[in-house]
Amino acid sequence: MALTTFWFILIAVLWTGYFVLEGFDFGVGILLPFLGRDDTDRRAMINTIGPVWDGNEVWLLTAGGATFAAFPLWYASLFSGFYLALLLILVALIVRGVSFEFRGKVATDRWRRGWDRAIFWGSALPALLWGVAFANIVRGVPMNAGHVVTGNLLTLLNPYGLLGGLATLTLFALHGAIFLSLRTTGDLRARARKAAVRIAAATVPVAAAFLIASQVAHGRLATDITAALAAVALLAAVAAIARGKEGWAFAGTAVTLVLVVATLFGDLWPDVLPSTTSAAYSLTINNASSSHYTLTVMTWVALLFTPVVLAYQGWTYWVFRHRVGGTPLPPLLPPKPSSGKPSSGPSPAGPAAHAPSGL
Amino acid sequence: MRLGLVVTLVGGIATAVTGDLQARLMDSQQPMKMAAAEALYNTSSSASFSLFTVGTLNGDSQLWGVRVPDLLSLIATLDPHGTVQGINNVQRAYEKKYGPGDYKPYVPVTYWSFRLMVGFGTLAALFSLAGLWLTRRRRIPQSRWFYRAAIAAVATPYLASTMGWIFTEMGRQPWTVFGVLQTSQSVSPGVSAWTVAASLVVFTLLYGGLGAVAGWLMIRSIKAGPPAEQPETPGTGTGEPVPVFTY
Repeated sequence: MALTTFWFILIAVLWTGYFVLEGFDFGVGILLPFLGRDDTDRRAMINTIGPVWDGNEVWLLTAGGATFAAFPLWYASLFSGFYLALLLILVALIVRGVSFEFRGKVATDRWRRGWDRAIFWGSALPALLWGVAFANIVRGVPMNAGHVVTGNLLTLLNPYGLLGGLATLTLFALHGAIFLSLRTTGDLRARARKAAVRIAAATVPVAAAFLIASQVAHGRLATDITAALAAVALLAAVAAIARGKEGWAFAGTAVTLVLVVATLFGDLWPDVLPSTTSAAYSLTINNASSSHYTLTVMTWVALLFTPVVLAYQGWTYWVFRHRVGGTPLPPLLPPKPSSGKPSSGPSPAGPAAHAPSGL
Repeated sequence: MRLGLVVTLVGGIATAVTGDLQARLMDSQQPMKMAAAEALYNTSSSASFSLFTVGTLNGDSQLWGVRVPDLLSLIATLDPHGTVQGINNVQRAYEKKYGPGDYKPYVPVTYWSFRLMVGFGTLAALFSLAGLWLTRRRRIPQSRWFYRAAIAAVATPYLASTMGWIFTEMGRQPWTVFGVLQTSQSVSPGVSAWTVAASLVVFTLLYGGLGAVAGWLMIRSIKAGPPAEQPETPGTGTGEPVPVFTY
């Protein structure tokens, strides 16, 4: 296999990892205001993704880094051409990441609701925009002979792009709801299951429409098969969650996302960024790639270090495999130093300690 | 605290050693940067190193300064009488090599950022040395000034590396990739100036706002004081380790 093809596949794998992993933590963020009835619920929800969301985002960094190193022209045209869209995504991701950390630092309702809102928008906006971006990469953008993208943000918001955005948004919301049902207990778990079935009513038609639109315009036989399998996996996931098989349902949405990304990258190949101005101006794996020497060095580095990264990320998931909830969550903020009178017994784990407000 | 002081001192010395090794590399690879760091306009042997200079910085006059003889030559060539190229000489050589143009970085910035980088780094190392002396044999320093200085010293390594960053970026001008790509040619053709300006404004406001919130939270947390002794949470009896809830 040519190294350029190998790196194209590797970048597809990195994006797959990103969407499968960050997909559910976006979903949890999107569902936060809907499934979190009180502060304890919302804390339990955030704690399901707390130890892993930043590790999940590393997949995005490596995907970007691999694109920069292996296909510098792709990176240049993409990041300049999608400048404002990426700016929006970055701002959303920054605010979201900070919100997880800041929300627990002050124990007032107003403060926490504000950051909850930031978590929602910081999750929903990228979940939508990644789909818009990828649909436009597959569709192609106006690009001149110098590989300069001549469109703007509004060019990206075409019907097919928006359909792609809704597809990722609903897929991530479903993936997140199923993840919550897998990782929580009691009432929250039951509500997450119910929500998953309800979200699926939107996810299935939107994702199907997006896959059909992609295959009609850009498909080939191999990706027709992956797209069909993606649809089967999605339906299987919905059937599984409706029957309360949370593990199978999560595997189902994960496989769906893998196959959707495989379909999109398969539709794209051998282009990396098609030009709608003229097919001759398109960036392909050949005219956008680094030198053979660079790719060879990178291949060795990737082969050596990827297993290490996979091992420690896997270990993180193993450490935090327990369900969240059940026993009352301990309060976030340490009790104030009592002024004079002794504190009334060892009660930080008692039910009164984590009433949503009043501290 | 002593651990921090030792790490700062070792780190400071290691930084000075690697920085010194890089100085020779810089002198041979990018002589303009070395000349601009010292504001040395004309090639000279036994070049001196100035600690401070108040002057016009175009090399014409120097109003006041503290200079260490031969030090620049020693840094750049390991020989106190070695030759260090001056800005004007390098400029002429570059014109021959790369064609007509201005190859001089903005000297006041390179001159002062270099000095502030070394200065803040040295300050951090000196503070660690003083701190290690004052805390010898587990002594607890009584002076309030020591603790105030310790808080201020937190900033010094950051300031040093920021100044170093400014120096290396400004000293390389007008190049983004030395000898290959000039800054004026590195601009993305598809991104308009207002777009870049918009992103710069957005990020400045965003980081400014988040920084202010973080600062407010820190001050709030400091004012609240250390937490009361927390009683051990009674175990649930299962013996299973339960992850700490951070959020």
